Amino acid sequence: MADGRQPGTSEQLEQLYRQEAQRLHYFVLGVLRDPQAAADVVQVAFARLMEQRVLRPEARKSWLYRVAYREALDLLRRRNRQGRMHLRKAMTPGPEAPQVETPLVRQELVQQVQAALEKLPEPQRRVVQMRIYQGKTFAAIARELNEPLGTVLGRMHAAVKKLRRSLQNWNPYE
Amino acid sequence: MNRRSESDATAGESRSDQLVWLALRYYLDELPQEEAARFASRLEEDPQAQQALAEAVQLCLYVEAACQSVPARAGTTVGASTPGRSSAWWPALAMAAVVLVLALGVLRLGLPRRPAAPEPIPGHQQAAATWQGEAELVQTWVRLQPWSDDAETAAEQSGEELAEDALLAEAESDAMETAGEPEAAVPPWLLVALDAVGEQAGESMMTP
Repeated sequence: MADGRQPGTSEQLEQLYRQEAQRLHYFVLGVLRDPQAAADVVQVAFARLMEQRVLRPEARKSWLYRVAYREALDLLRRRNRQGRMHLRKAMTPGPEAPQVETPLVRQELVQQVQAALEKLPEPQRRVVQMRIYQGKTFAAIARELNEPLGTVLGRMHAAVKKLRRSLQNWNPYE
Repeated sequence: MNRRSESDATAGESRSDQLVWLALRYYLDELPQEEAARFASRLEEDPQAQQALAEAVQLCLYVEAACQSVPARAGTTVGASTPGRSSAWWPALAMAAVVLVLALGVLRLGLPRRPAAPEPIPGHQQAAATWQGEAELVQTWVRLQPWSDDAETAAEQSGEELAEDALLAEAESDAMETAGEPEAAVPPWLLVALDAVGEQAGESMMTP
């Protein structure tokens, strides 16, 4: 309290770190395929999280992954740009392009996902929205829809398969 | 031979689906504790599992973004069931009220063109003062309604825009004017309609 933090914030952050750091690391590793860079991105994401003291506890996990994802994409694009620039420099020396922050999600990909979601049967789309967008657990969704848990899980599984098929050719790393 | 490679591909897709499904439930904290621990230890050394996790998390981030951006498009159900979106009618109501009071203001501006009304005084300042008065009337009327702050802000903005528009309109009208007094751009049908509205609304709306 003396340092101006909200009550319990540091404990909650510590708990979130213990709970998420490893998982976040593997996620970033899956994107970057570089353990050292992945470790750096995780550190940056948690450092940013510590600056965000007004964030609601239930929103922290999603926020953390979004920040880490953005950092990872930025890193990938910087590497690609540097690779291209090394080639160009040999041909035409000139000032470097200014750094522009990567948008978290690309609009055309969002539209692809929207189209894919709209193609899903309504019961499957509903479960996807409730679980991913509204953050309800599968058990809570089953209670709310008055359906067996297995049915809800089956719908989600089927929806994920269809979404993957619809988005087979996308490349968020471009 | 072909049939065999097709079935291999199908088996590969199925394995990949299973892995992403496992990774998705791991990310969403929906795996039983033991299964989650097993998958976590697999992640340490299996790049395929890491990629599956990356794909699952990205899918979630994009679905979230897709659901968030859909409410702007009318007539679709994606993301429409989130609470807190039913208040979209407030701005529309506020706009309707502003349009109504604006219409009454136009009526009042049109009144001097009738024989019984006093002669309009030419000049920017007079016209601006008249419009400013209308703008204040809009603001006062809106402020008296039991609406949200958003509606009030929208009405205040409309009032300011009204005064600015009046000055612009007056300047344009002066520029086009060749002789005599400028013509008011109020169509006759609007005057008839506004007469009816004015009678229904009563005189209290028109007097300061």
